[in-house]
Amino acid sequence: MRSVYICLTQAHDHQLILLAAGTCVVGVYGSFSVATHAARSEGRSATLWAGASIVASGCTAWATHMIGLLAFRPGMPAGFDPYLTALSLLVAIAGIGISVALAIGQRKRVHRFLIGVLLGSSIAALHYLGEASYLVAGTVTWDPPLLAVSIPTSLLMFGVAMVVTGERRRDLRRAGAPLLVAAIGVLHFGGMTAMTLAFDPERSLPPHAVPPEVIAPVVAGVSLGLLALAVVGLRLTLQARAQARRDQQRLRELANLAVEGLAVCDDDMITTANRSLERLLSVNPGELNGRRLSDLLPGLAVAALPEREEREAELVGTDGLRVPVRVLRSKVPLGSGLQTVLAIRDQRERLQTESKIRTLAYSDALTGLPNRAHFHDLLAHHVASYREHDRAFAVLVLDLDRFKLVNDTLGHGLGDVLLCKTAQRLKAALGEHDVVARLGGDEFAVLQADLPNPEVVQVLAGRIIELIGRPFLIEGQLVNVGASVGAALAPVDGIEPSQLVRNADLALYKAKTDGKGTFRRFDPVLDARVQARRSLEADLRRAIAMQEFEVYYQPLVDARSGRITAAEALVRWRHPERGLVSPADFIPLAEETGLIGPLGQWVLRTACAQAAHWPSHIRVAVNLSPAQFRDLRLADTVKAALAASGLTADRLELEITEGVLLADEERTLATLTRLRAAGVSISMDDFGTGYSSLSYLRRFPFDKIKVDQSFVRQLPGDLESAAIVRAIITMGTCLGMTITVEGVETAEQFAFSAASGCDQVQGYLVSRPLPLDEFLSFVEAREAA
Amino acid sequence: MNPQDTPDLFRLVYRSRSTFEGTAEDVQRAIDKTLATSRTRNAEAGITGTLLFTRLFFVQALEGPAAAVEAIFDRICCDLRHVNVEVVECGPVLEPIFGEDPMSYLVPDAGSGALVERVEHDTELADAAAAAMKLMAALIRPQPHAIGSVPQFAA
Repeated sequence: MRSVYICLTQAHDHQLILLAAGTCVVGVYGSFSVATHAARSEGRSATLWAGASIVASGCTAWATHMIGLLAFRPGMPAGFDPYLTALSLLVAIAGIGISVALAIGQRKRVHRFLIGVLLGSSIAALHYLGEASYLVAGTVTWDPPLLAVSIPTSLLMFGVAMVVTGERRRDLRRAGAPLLVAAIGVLHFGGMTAMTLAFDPERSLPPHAVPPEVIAPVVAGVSLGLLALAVVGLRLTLQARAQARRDQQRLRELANLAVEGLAVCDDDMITTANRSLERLLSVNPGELNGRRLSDLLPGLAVAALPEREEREAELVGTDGLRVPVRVLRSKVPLGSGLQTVLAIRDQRERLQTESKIRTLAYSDALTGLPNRAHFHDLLAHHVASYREHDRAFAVLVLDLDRFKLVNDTLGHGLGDVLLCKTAQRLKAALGEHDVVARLGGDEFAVLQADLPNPEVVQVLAGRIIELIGRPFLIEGQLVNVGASVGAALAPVDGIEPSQLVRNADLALYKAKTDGKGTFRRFDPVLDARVQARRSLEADLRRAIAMQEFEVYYQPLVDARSGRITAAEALVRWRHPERGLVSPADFIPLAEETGLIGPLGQWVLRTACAQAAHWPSHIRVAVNLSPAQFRDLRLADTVKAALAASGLTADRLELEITEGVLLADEERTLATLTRLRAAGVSISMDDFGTGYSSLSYLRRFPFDKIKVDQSFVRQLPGDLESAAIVRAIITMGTCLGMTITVEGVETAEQFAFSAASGCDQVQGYLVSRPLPLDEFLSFVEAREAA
Repeated sequence: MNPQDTPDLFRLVYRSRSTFEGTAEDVQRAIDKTLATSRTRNAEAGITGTLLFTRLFFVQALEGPAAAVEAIFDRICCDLRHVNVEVVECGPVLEPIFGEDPMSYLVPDAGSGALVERVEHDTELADAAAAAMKLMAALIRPQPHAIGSVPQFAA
């Protein structure tokens, strides 16, 4: 050690040693800053800067070494071998280059250590090549033990320096550069001390030796180059720092703009949070820095979160405020390296909206009761639990009597209030576990949850009818409605939710037809009747499509001459299985279902087409139902049928009952007037029954009155009937109308009618309704007679 | 009271059949309890009125702002302790005739037997209504200072 100390203090020029140290520091700084810039750059410029950095490192090592040699004062003439000197520079650059290339991305410590040893070896090579290039006028001897100690020591230090440089911990990383410098120092001064130079006048410097005076400017040049590079590196570093600051500022501004809360974390520690997150937790700016993430998001293992996958969590503020959030974790390259960034999205609004949507979807907006969908859910749920507990329950369906009237006369606003008040009263009628829902319109349903005995259904229905039957006071007006209730009991009347509701509906239908304000329980007979009706309806639809109908004709004869003057067209249904079906069985259903429209049209067209081929003095009479009158195109339909058949309008009679006139009189009268204007005759059918208001006769000039057969049946024995028939005939004649007496079955009835002055007679006495060909034969026979 | 003070005065009188069961004391206790509730409720809503009980029927008059009367009547109609609720009179009026008590209580006295008979047994509501109004007016007017003090009426 002493010799090393002497070597340092006496054998060297101190100023040059300082210069060597300075060159080393400047060179190392330059190389490192340029290398850092290379790491920040991309593509070609990265390669160039990396190359510059490697060359600079080599030059630094070499220049330091050379200045060290120049500082050496051996006390005898000395010079440099130019080739070896140049070689030492190349070895240094190559050695450092290879080591650095190998070191990039190297994670394993052993590898890094070996690379460090390789780097040390190249520096050692530089050193000893450099010493070999140092020529003196004397002999050179080496101290082997010192070499044996100093070289491995320095190689070891190189290895350790490389290991710590690659460590994650910053304080360890910082130890890298000083260790490297120390390793170089050990290598250099160890080597110098181990070398002993003895002056030998016999030996002179070889001729190619370059004197220090020549080498010094070269070294100085290289050193100045390194200084320049260091200045460049400094500028690059400053620029990079400014850029980083600007980037960070921009990032912060951007983060503050974000709606989501953002937190940059170092493990569990928040280093930065944006304004949104601060607002979310209602804290002052900067207050979150340094807070623990696990305090804010308890129950969420942030480190274990998969990246880019949202998780539900609860954010807890300092004041205990709990906010439902979604958290997204991602690693983001920020500044020097990857950092954990948590995006935290407030879910309160979404959850509120969702719950509002749920409420809207499952409840009736007007009354706040569960809606139809929700009721079916509840019922299905109850049915499922019934299967476990085996307890009977009931479904009640009710609607308001006269609700449509209230709505139409008092307005929908009042109707809505009425529905709300109804909902309140229904709730008051229910038992603790019962549920009431609004199915739509004025229709409500109740799930009566638990039935100790079937009578309690009746009790509840009674309560409902009582409460809804009470007057309603709405905006100063008294409104009286009522409720009809139908019920189906599970499991007796069904166990499927839809079946229960349907059966309760059937019972309600029965309650309504039996007189309003009543309660009916489902009865299987109801179901059978409905099924029969439904199958008949399906049959009827098919029959219309398949044209299973026929038109029969019943002749009308002149009361005086007995000649056929007209025939009434009557529809018959020839059912493929049931045979001939009576009109009484299917016409009401056809009217109810609207099928009377197409059926009536078919009869009209068929009758016109067939009548067109009859003798021209025989007219045809077709019945029109009230349902057909609801169709505004009726007059056009009739005209089209006439045009298609070629029948003249004066040969068509349309028979209507007073039911046609009851509904919407104005419109009906307008249609009748249009038909009459087209030349068609209009008859009043079944006169004498119903209201038989005489004002009809005054308001519309009918061409014909048909006296209802109920009067004729009693003729001529019954004096009242006889008087009525005679009165109708007299009245009609005075009004200028033709009078037909229907249902004449006996010769006495015929004689009475004719004597009373009636114009036409129709009935079994003349003929029953006949199929077309039979009717034609009948006409032929009569005409011939 | 001055008509100008109550531009929105509404009166509703109804008759209903009691479903209270038990001894006279039980019924009276139940009615007292109901009265106490209705007094508090009516005072809050700015409603005055009177209740007549004939052991079989209630006749109750409510006077106050139309909306308040409507709300109280809604509650009354949700009550299952009486049945056959029939409105006797209903409409805007100029001044109250049933006093200023939130809910005074009238019990028919010895002299009102015939009217009670009509209130209870007249099948025509209009006749029963007229009888009820007359009875209530007769009971309420002679002793205006005593309105609402239950013990004096519950003879």
